[in-house]
Amino acid sequence: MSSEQEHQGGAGPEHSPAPAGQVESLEKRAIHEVVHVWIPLAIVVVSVCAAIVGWRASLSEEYGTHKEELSRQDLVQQQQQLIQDNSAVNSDIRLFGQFAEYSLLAEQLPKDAGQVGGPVGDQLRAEGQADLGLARAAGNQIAHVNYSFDPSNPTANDQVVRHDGTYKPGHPYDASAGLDDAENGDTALHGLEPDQLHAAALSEQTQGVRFTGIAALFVAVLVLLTFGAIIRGPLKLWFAGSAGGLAVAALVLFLIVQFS
Amino acid sequence: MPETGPEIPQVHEIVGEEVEHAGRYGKAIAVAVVVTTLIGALVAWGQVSALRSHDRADAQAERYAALSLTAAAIGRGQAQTQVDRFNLLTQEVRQADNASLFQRFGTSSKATDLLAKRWNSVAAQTEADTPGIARSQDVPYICSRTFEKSCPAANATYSPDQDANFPARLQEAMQWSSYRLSALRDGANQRAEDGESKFVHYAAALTALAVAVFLFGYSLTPNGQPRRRLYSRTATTFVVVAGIYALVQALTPLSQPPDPAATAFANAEVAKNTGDYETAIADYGAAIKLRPRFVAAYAHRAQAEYQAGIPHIGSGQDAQQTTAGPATIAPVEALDRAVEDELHAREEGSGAADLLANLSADLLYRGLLRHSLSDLRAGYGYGQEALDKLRSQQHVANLLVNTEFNQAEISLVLGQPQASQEYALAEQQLHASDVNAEFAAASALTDLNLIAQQYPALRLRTDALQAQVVHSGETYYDGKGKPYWDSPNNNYVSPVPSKVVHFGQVKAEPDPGHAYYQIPDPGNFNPDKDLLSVQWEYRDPVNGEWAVLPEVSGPVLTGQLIKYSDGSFSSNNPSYLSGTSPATCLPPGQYRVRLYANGRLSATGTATARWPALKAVRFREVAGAACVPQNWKALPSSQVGTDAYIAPDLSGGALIFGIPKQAAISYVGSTDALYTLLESAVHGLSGQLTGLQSQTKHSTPFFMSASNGQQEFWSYDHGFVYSGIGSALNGQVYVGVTWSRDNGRTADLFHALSPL
Repeated sequence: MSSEQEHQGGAGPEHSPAPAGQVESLEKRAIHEVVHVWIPLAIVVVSVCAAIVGWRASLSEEYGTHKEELSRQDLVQQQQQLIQDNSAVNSDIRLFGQFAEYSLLAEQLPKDAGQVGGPVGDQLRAEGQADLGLARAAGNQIAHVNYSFDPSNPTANDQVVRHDGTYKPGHPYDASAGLDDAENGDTALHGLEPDQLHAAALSEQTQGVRFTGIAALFVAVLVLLTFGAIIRGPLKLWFAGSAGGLAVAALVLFLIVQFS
Repeated sequence: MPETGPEIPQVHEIVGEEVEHAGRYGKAIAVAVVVTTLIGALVAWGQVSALRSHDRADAQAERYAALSLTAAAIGRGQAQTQVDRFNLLTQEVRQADNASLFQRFGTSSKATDLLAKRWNSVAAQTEADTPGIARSQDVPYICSRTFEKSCPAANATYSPDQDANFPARLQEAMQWSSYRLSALRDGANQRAEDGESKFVHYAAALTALAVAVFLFGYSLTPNGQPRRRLYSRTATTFVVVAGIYALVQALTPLSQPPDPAATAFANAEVAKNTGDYETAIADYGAAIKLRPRFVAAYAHRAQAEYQAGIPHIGSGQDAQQTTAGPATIAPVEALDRAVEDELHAREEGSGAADLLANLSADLLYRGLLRHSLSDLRAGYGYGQEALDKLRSQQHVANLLVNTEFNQAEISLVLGQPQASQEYALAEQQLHASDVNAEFAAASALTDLNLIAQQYPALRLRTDALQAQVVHSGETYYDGKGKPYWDSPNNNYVSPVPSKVVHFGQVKAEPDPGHAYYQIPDPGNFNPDKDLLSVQWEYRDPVNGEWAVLPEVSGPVLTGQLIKYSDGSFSSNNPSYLSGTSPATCLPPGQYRVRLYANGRLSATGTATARWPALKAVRFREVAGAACVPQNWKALPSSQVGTDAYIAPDLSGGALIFGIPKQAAISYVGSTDALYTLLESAVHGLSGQLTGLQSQTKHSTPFFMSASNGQQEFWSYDHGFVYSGIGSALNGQVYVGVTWSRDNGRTADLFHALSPL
């Protein structure tokens, strides 16, 4: 006979059948004892679960924070590159102004030289020649929209440039195309993904919050189990039952969050 | 029956019979513990969520900050590109105009004629290309209706013809998205603060719940049982209070400042920075209505309220202050509104040094105007807070010195003994390398004038302090920190002469564009050995104090004093119009000029200006400006090198005509030739000015700051004409003509013509 049985008054199978109420009471006691015996084990299991969920929450938080930091760094670098690309386009527009000016002067000066004639005409012709060189140089320096002149193939860019390399009026610098070109050619801009990293960080952090909530549920289960362990009577079942229900809910939630 | 599970003590061995038989009470406690624990779990989760919201909002604020900086940089660059395009066009037009002027006034030739045509073609091409470039950048372009055939009103508003502070209007428009992103960042910061605050509230609720769980548990122990009802009731109270508190927190969502508030704020910023204060106030109001805790909107609206209180002519973006810069003080009503907004910003948690400094200054002025000692004391307190912050900050030298002076002024009025020490400290700050000493000194002198006016008993003290401040402003320091002084004739003076200078008389003779004074009787003044400083003051029509005009005040140095053969002196007529930014005309009213010789006030002259309020206008073709009535309009350029503003009924006008000196070289060397050119220009207007008759002519040192200025006065059937000619330092020969039905008005218009 176990000491438990002794403590309960030595009730055993060899005794005469007890009244129904007494049997029910004995059954309840037995359940109480079983529950009482298993509660410590449950506490250990739930503690482990809480620790695992807490660790997962911590991992998610860490990943989220790290990704947020990476996102911030990418964003700063991206913005810096965008400023540089815009600045390059602005430089192009200034160069385009010179290109268009020199081009028209290069076109007009020889005509004017013909009208003026004599040494002044020769001087104007020389100026026109110099302006032609300057126009071609300026056109070649425009980086992100093609106004360049290829002496070996003068008709290669005749959409916007005349065959002598001067500007063909009516084709002003397209800043939108220039910016597209600048950004596409900006290798430092490639591979930066601040928005995606930010979204991933938010997702990780949300998961972290959910894991923390689940860890809190496990802690609540622990509290209930602890009370269940130290209390006798119907309350023990109450605590244990609540703890069991809550633990199952927490476990299901954990699986949902983990694999969603 | 075999035993299962580990050996553990029996329940009754631990808690005893009393607990075992707790009955209904024990059951209730058990339920309470379960409920409390669950509430605790929920609160903990809410707390983590709040912390997460805080972190997210923080991260969002950082993102907005980065985007705002980028938007600002890109906007600035794009605006500058359009300004460059406009400048390129202007240069091309000027090249063409100069060639035309050479053709007309210099040596005429086929080549020069073709040169003008060539540059006109280049300008036409630039004009044609610019809108397409701007469109491809999705930005507005600048055009001028005075010389471009096609110029929509929306684009003309950015031109120098319409934007007195060109190119600020375009630059500000291009900063709009940056301002909006800054406002969104501010909103995200507010959300982060709210998240943090919620986290703290949840922590308080959690603590209460933890205590409750302990009390519930303790009430079940043998030691706790005798007073179990006390423990359980206390615990229940904790649970109820913490539960409700947490529930309130959970049901109160984190505020998300609405985006339209940021949009309204951006509109307000652009309006404020382009001088349209009334629109700015309305837009800040809209932003505050949408987001009642918008600290920046309160702080910036306070600045707009103050500025809106300064008298203006015109309205909206075209409004011009009748005194440039912060010369005069806003009326009490404007100060009331500014102070209210600044206090609101302060209550909402702003501790920015500039806000505190502005609040201190506004309370100082309100305190002086209302004789309110409580305002002065409060102002001193905020000023001290501002100084504590400013002294540890960089790039705030002007704000720091102004606040130092304000503190000294408050101490002076309150009769505090530290006033002298504070003045000495502020005067020392005037010499910091990054301080605009003349503006800071002018502000301090104006404030002392206000103090003298409001507290006449302090006049002797304020006079002495003004002399001290002026002397500090005319003291320079060499590389070794040794003080030195310069006389008007550029002589090194050290030590400062103790001689008391007695000027017989000083005459103030301002015109709308200049601050001219004469010293008919200089007494014992010696420009080689004595120091001289001039302070021009304008009597504030609102509060009545004499406000110092810093642009035309300060030490009188080389070239700023003209000596005449009769021994008298005059100023070289410094242009207020040229010295102010944006260009501003002197308003009508009372003026006072004060001369300080060797650090002492030596003479004062006053004058009353009776001209109407005039607006400053720039000329396009020539680098010059004029002061004209508000309703006068620019005349589209009809002749190369000519700009004009005329009255709607053609009863008056101001015309200026510029020729490159090289083109007019045959005129520059001879007074007769200059008059020939001048008369031909005036006769060119004879269709407008019927019955034109020359009256008098004489040389003048003051036409467009020209060294060889000539002036001719005319009459015509309906009024008077003033004309002048001279070659200015900027390499242009100017011809200026003004006319109207009133002689004095015509003279004022003529005298105000200024080179830029």
